[in-house]
Amino acid sequence: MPDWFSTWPEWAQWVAYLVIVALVLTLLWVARPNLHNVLKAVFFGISHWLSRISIWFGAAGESMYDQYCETVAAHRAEEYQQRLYRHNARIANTVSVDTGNVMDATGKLEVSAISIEGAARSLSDVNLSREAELEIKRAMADKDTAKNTVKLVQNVKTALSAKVLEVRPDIQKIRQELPALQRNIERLHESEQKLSRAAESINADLAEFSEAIHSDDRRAVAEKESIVIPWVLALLVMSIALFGVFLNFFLIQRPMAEIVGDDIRVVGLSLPTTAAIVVIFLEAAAGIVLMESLRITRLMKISELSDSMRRVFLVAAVVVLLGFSAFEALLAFQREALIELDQRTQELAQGIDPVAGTAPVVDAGDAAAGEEDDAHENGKSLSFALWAQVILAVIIPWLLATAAIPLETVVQNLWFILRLAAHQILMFLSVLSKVLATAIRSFGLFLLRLYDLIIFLPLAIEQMVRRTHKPTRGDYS
Amino acid sequence: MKRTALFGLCAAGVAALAACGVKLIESSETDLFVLVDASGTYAANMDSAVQASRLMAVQLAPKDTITFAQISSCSFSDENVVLRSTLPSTPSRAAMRKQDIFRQLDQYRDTFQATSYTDIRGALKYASFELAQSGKDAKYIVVFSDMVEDTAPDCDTRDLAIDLTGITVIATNVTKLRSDSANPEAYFDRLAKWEEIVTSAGGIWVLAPNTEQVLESIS
Repeated sequence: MPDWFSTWPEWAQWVAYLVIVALVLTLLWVARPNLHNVLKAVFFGISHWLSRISIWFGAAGESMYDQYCETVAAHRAEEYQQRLYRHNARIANTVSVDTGNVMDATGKLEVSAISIEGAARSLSDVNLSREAELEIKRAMADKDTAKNTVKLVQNVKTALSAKVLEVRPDIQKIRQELPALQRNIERLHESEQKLSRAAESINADLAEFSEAIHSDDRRAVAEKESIVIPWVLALLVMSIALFGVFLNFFLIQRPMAEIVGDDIRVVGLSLPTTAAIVVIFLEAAAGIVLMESLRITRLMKISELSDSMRRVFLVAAVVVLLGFSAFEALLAFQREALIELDQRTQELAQGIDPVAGTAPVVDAGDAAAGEEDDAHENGKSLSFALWAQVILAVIIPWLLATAAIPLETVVQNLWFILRLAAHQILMFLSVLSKVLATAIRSFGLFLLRLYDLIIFLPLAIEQMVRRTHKPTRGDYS
Repeated sequence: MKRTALFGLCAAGVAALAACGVKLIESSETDLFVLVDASGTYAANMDSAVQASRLMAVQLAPKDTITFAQISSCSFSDENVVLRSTLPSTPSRAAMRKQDIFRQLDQYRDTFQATSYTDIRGALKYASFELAQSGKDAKYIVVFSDMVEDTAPDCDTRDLAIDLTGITVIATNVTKLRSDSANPEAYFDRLAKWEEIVTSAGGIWVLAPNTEQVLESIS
C-alpha cells in the first residue's frame, strides 16, 4: 500500500477496502459472460480433444486386438492343420499294422467257425432217444435179454455210452475253439476301439480347424487358448538355457586363448571371449538344425525337405555337435592345465617354491606323510573337478540343442505378444486420455462455480432485479 | 533381396560401431620398463625390488613387454639392461616365459655389483628412448631408487633433456637417507624435484609407496 494510504484513519481505510472489493466484484460481474466463455473454451475444449484422442486410441486398440485375433486364429488353424497331417500319417501307419491283425483274426475266426460248425453238425446228427429205442427193440427181440430187465438196462446204457463216446471229440473241439474265438473277438474289438478313438480325435481337430477357418467370431477362436502362458513358460526355459550358455562360456573362454591367442580385441572384447561366443552360437545353430531335421521344431524350411535331405542335415548336425562335445572336453583338460600353470607361476612370483610349499616344518617323517596325503587328496579333488568339467563340456552342446524347442515358441509367439502389448498400451492410453478429459472438464466446471460463488452478491441482486423486470437470464452450467 | 538386406544391416552395424568410436580390431599392449638403483646406498633394497618386479611380471598379459635395467654410474647404455622380454600370445607359453623371467631376476639379484654413482637421468633417457620405439599403447617406467642423483665426473647427465610424452613414471620404494631424518624437507624436496622433471618432460608422475599401489597403477 502507498504511504499516504497508511496516514488515513482506520475507518477510512476500511471504507476504501470495501469500495475496492465492491469495484472488483462489479467488474467480475460485468465480465462474467466473457470470462465464462473463455474458461469454457479452454477447459471444455481441451477436454473435448482429449475425449476424441481417447476414442481414437480406443479404436486403434480395438483394431490392433482384431488384428491380433485374426493372426492368432490363423496360427491356430495352421496348428490344427499340422495336427491333422500328423493324424493322417499316424492313422495310415495304424491301419497298415491293424489291417494285418484284423485279417489274421478274421482268418482264425473263419477256421474256428468251420470247425465249430462241423462239430455242431456231428452233434446234431446224434439222436440218443432213437438209439435207446433201437437198443430196446434189439434186446426185446432176444428172448434172454427180454426176460432179464437188468441186462436190458445194462445193454441200453452201454449202447448210449458208446454213442456219447463217439461225439466227445466234437465237444472237445468246440471247447478248444472257444478261447481262441474269444481272443480274436477281443482283438477285433480293440482294433475297433483304437480306430474309434482316432476318429474321435480327428473329428474334434477337424471341428476346431473348421471353426478356426470359418468362424466369424475371431475373438472367440483366438481366446480359446492362451498365447501368453506358453510364451512365458518358453521364455523361462530359454532363460535357464541361457544360464547354461553363461556357464559354458566361462568354461571355454579361458582355454580358447591357447587356440586363438590373447593379444587383440575385437569390438572391445578380447579375442578368446569373441571366439567362445562364436563357438556357442555355432553350437546353438547346430542344435536348431538338429531339432529341425528331427521335425521337432519348424522354424526353418529344413523340416519341409524330403526325407533323404533331412537325413543329410540330421547326420551333419549330429556330427557337428559330437565334434563340439569333443572340442569342449579337450578345452576342459586345457583349462585345468592352464589353471595349474598359472598357480605355479603365481607361487613362484611370490617366492614360494611350489614343490616344497610353505607348510611349517614339524617332524620330517610326519611332514612327508602329511604332504603325501594332501597331494593325494588334492589330486583326487582335482580329478573330480576335471571330470565334472569334462561331463559338462560334453553335455552342454546337446542341452543347447534342446533350447531350440522353447525358442520356436518364443519366436512364433513374439509377434502375437507384441500386438497384444500394443493393444494393451493403446487401451491404457485411451483410458488415461478419458480420465484426463473428465478431470479437466470437472476442474473447468469447478472454476466456473467458484467464480459464481465469488460474485454471488451481484448475481443475487441481478436475479432479484430480473425477477421484477425480466425473468430470463442465460445459464452457463 | 534378403541377402542385400542382411548385408546392409551388417554394414549399418559396423558403421554404427565405428561412429561410436569402437574399433573393430585393436590391441592393448603394455610396455613396462623397470629401473632399479644399483648404487651402494640402495643395494640393500635389491631383494624387495626384485620381488616387486616378479609380481609386476606376473600381472602382465600376453604380448606385453617387460624390461629390467639397473641405474648405474652411467646409465644410458645397453649394458645396464638385465632382461627384455615380450610375452608370447598364448597364456601357457606366456606363463612359461614369466617363469624364465623370475629365474633371470633371481640370477641378477645374486650376482649384481653395487655401483659408485647414480645416473637416474641417463636411465630415464634410455628407458624413454626404448619405450618410444616399442609403439605399445601403455608405457610405464617403474623406478626403485632413493632418487638421489649422483653423477660420475666422466658421465655428467644433469643437463640431459628427456622426453617422457605418453609415459607414466612410477617411483616406488623411495628410501629415506640418514640425513633425511634430520631434515625431512630434503626428502620431500627431492620428490618434488623429480616430479617437476618428469611432468616438464611430458610424463605422468606417480608416487607409489608400496608394491600393491604399483600393481594398481600398471593394471
